[in-house]
Amino acid sequence: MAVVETTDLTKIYQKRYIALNALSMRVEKGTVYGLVGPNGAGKSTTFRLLLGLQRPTAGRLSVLGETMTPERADLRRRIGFLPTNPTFPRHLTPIGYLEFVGSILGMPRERAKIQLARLLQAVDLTSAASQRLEGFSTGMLTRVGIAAALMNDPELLILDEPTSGLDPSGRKQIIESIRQIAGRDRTIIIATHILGDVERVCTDVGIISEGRLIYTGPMSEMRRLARQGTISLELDGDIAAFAEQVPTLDEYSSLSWQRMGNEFRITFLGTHPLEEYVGRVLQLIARTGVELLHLNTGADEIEDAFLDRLEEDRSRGIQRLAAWSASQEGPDRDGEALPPLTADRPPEADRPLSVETG
Amino acid sequence: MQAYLAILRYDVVQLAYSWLLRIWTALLVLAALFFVAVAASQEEKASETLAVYVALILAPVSALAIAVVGGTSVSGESAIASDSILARSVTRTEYVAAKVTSRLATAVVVLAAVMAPFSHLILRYSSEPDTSTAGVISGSLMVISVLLSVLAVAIALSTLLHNSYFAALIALAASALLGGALYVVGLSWLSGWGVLTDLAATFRGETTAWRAGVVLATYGLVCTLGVTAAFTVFRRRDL
Repeated sequence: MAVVETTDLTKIYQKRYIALNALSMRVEKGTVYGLVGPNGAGKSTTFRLLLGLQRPTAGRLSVLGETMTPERADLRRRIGFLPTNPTFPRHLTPIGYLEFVGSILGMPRERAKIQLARLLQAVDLTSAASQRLEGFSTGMLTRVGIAAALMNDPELLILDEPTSGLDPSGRKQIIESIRQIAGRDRTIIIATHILGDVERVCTDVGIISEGRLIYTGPMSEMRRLARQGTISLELDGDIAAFAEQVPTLDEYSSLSWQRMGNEFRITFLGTHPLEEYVGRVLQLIARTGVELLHLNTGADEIEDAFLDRLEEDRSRGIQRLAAWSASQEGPDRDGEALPPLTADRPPEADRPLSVETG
Repeated sequence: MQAYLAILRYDVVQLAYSWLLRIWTALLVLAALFFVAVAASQEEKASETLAVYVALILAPVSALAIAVVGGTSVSGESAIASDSILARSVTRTEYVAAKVTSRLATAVVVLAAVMAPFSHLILRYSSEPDTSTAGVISGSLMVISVLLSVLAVAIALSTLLHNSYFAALIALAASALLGGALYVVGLSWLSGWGVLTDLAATFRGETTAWRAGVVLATYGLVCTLGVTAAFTVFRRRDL
């Protein structure tokens, strides 16, 4: 069952700025969905539309099986939301604020008190419960925001940049909290541009760029795409001899490689398991007598995959326009926009060929 | 309904703790005490003393305070509204209704709490108590209706503009423009300034019921239009 489903969701601000460009997204029940994209990609706009804080310019939007509008307070009662760097009434204490949230959610007073006590303990704020929010750090405010988002025990939890502005320990704490609240009956959508967070906590991922979803699929598939055949090496010794032999690593020469000083980055474009490629590289190292200082098959992997998807999307711009035009003329595609890349349709065919700088 | 009451309570508490409300009330009370002393010691008519207090102190100070109270009602906490209130199970209508109720109620309570006891004291200690009870009530209601119209316009502008103080400024300018327009069409007695300059006569009971009724109806209409505009604009706006 889709908890969130958007079709060609478009948001244009004041006829000047396209924030969302025919965004089609589907989030299944029970998943932790990471919405990844650079700043200004449209993540927060998507959330504001999902919450009914804004109206779409065009397209369809369904949340928990129903259409969301600003007046659908009943539907929002089933959703928890943590905004980026949340703004709270500064004069309130966490208890006062959570009581206020409980009352606007229509919770009976006694139940709200039990729930807020549990939540403050869960987010480790019991000791600060009597202090005013104005003295709280960003991390503490985020934890108050998480507690507020969970007051109504929501079916759908939307977290917009939950680790933004936090130090590493604060980030770790928030990620741990998210892991704990993820469950079979609860769907979580997290927007972030910190890819490490997505990798740690998400089961599914969507990449959004310039208001479009350019990739969507399970996190495991994203990892597979990311790690596909890329090996980073740092060597010492007769580097030139090694460089000379690199093209022989694959009998069909289906590899690309880059050399930056004594560092190599070799990408195999074939379909063999990564272990096999690593074995070949190690054999070549032994054969050429160079010293291996460092080998990595996962360095920056998610970031690389993310950047690849962005690059592909840019290179496919005209192609997409042509496909869309064809779909408008075609008899059996009722104006449907070209879908994003998915895990079932990996984009290897569009991958750029070898870049040699060695 | 529970959400409406929760936001109403929250906003009233916010206002009660605000420096604006404290300064506004303190200024009115201190000035009123001074005028009571003047009424007691000088050979002044009660109607004149009360009219001067209202026209020189209460009306301008309150107009300024009320414009800010209205101007900050929605835009002043737009981030809190979208992050902490409207992203939850609250409708826009409930939110604006709570804001309008709390701001109007606060203004009425402050004005009534100052005017009622101090008009009584001025009359009590004045050497020449020439006012009528009906006249004082009628004059007070007219002044309050003029001020509430400024508040309603400021609330409407607050739903439209991001800058709270700009909203307050435009609300004051709009009220001045309305007064100017009424003057041009020969209805200067209906303008805010006209109401204030005729106050002494009104307090003495010399203003006709018809004229008082027209003033109350006109500013009541402006108030209704402002509140309606606030609801309409805010329900359509993107947050």
